[in-house]
Amino acid sequence: MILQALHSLYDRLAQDESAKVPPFGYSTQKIAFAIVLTAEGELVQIADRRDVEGKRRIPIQLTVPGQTKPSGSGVNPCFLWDTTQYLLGYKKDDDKPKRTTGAFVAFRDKHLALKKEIACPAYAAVCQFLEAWKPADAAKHPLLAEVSGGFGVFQILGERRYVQDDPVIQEWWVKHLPTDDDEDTGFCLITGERLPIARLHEPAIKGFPDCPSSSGKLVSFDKSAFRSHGKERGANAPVSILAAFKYCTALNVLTNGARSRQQRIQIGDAATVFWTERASPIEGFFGLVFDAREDTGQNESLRLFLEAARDGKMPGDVDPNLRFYILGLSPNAARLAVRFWHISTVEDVSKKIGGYFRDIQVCKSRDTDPEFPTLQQLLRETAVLRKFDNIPPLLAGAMMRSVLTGLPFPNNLLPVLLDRIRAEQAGEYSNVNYFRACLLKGVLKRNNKLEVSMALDTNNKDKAYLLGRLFAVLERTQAEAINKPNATIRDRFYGSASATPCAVFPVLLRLVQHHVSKAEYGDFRDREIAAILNDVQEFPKRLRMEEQGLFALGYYHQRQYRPTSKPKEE
Amino acid sequence: MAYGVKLKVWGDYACFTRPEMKVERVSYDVMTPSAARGILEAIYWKPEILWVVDRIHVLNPIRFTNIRRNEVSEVVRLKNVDAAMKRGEPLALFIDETDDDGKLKYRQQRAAMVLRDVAYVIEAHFEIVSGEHNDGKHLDQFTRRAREGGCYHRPYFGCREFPVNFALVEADAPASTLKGEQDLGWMLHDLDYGNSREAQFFRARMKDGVLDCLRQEVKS
Repeated sequence: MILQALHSLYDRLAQDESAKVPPFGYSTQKIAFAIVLTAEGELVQIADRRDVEGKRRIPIQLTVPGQTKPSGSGVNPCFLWDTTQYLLGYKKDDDKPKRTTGAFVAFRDKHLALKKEIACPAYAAVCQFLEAWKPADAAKHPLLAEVSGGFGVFQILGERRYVQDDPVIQEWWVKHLPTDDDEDTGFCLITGERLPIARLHEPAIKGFPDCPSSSGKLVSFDKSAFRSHGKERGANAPVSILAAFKYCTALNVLTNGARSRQQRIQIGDAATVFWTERASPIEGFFGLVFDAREDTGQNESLRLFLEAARDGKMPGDVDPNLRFYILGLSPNAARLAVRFWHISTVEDVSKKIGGYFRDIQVCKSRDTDPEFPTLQQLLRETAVLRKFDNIPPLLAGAMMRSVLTGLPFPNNLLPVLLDRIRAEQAGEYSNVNYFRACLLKGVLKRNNKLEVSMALDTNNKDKAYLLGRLFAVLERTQAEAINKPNATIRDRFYGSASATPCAVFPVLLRLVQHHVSKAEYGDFRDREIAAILNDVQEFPKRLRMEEQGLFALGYYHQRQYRPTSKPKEE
Repeated sequence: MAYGVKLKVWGDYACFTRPEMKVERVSYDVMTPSAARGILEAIYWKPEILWVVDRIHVLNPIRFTNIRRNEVSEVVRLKNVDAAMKRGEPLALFIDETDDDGKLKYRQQRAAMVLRDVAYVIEAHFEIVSGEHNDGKHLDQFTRRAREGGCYHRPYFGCREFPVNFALVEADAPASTLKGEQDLGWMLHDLDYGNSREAQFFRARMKDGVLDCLRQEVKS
């Protein structure tokens, strides 16, 4: 299913001019510069072709003939594109000058050998340039030092297109693609036809820095233990060469191509890509739900979409039955493991997202808190020191699945959260912040089926909730009584109050009497405490995990509570 | 022949591995006919009969989960087996074996996307390929064993780690919770053991939780 959906995606993108998806035999590469020549092959300049984005210069993505260069020390020149080494015999800080020269010679010879076959003025110009070029001349072009290591292409002065886009050259290239006559035919499990079977599925999926060469394979059988029935490599999973190219290229577009900025989300170690059956605006802003970036242009449509979804309405003008595919991948050695795969409709996904935001909605602690926190922001709260690297590995993928399918949150979410809350009890900032409160409410509501509210609920008589509230009031009383205490009761007692109330609260209540007498509004606090204790019969010896969660939520609600009008008896 | 059997099978986990996602395993959404055949053969099989799966009823909603397992990357070499047989040399492949630099040689952690809480009813019949054409004999043996829980080895859902609980269904198959028609794409039907174990695929379509495994749709 996965490969088939990607295969269909390729067919859809290939028809879309703006998608710039490479046809069979071509690939998309990051091009940094262009060698501009006259029609006679004289060098005009080495032009910078990078896009400027703020302070950075990004190479543009172009479709070029041939596949990504294989890694390793072999000399393998590409056709009409390559690095500065091959194109010009130049490498910055060259420690192997012989190899660089050898690379250039190989590149030049390869192209000159084809001079007779390709009857095209642009190609002739390139050949003339290569014949005349001396690597030592490279020093005259300061740009090369900047782009050394990047890829370049050729361009003829006065023409808008690059040399490899010349129709004559393209026609020749397509005719001379390596044929697959020597590959065995088999049943392609994507298309259902008898075709030559790919031995290796090319191109590799780029955009995974944890994999060697930043690219992994979704389907690979590189070790003997992975093969079955004596079949080698790709014969273990018959896919035709063309179908393999299509699905790999489509996936590459999502993970690493122009669309990856919108359609790829990185949550923890899992990269999630998504697409719809037909082109739709949803593809543009859906990623922002999980991982907001600076794309301010999309935020308005995103906000409208989420508000509509949370209220249970179908957003805008999108066809509700449009198929929606979500694929989660994570790197493992040189391979990509499928974390989850979900096919749904836009309507269904909207409902699930709406339900998810309803589940996690709590009152804000300050006005800058986002109304729709992203999954990244939430998961960060489960990480040690709030570092993205420390998010528990399987949690990210599992959370994503829960959000999209409406299933309960992963079982270890609550323990991890409580762990973090307890570990950070002594600190300048509150250990139960807005994001953690969101997660707590979500998990208590969805997993434990408790009735928890968004803001302070004085009618909630659950003793864990009341104790959390009580703790917040006690903390406030202390803060009002003692200016800048060295250690607040939260620093010292939060963990034990939350886990073993029976041991801690009598002590705290004894302490608070001193604070009450000292504090300015002590009497008011005293009455607050009495009101809460009214419904507490006894302090439990221990609180269970979900009760500790409720404690934390009660604590948060009480802390955030700001009375909206003046109390009548003042 | 005319005798069909119905067997209800259920378990906690299942992994009907897709051939293309074999390393980092991803399961098909439903049981493959070849896995169903494996379950039946675990309960009762003789070289004289050939099990043919007709229909698979999917009873529970399709749910996935992720697990990671530590496995080995290499197969034991044939010459090591030879040496063990002839000269009594030790034969083992240790997952924590390190090479001279201290790196683990064979350990590979593989992720798997497996099914959770599965329950199926397998509708199948057998064909006699050799020997006496005594359908009743084979049927009785199967029925008795299925009733008593007899099996040559514990049947499994795709991987040996996922055991199967089974029970004979005497009446009609129970209704499935799944509704509607679903196209599951090309699914592995079975391996053609006569033709160098080439994989055979069929177009899987599930209607209201029932997967039809008719052989004539098989392409290879």
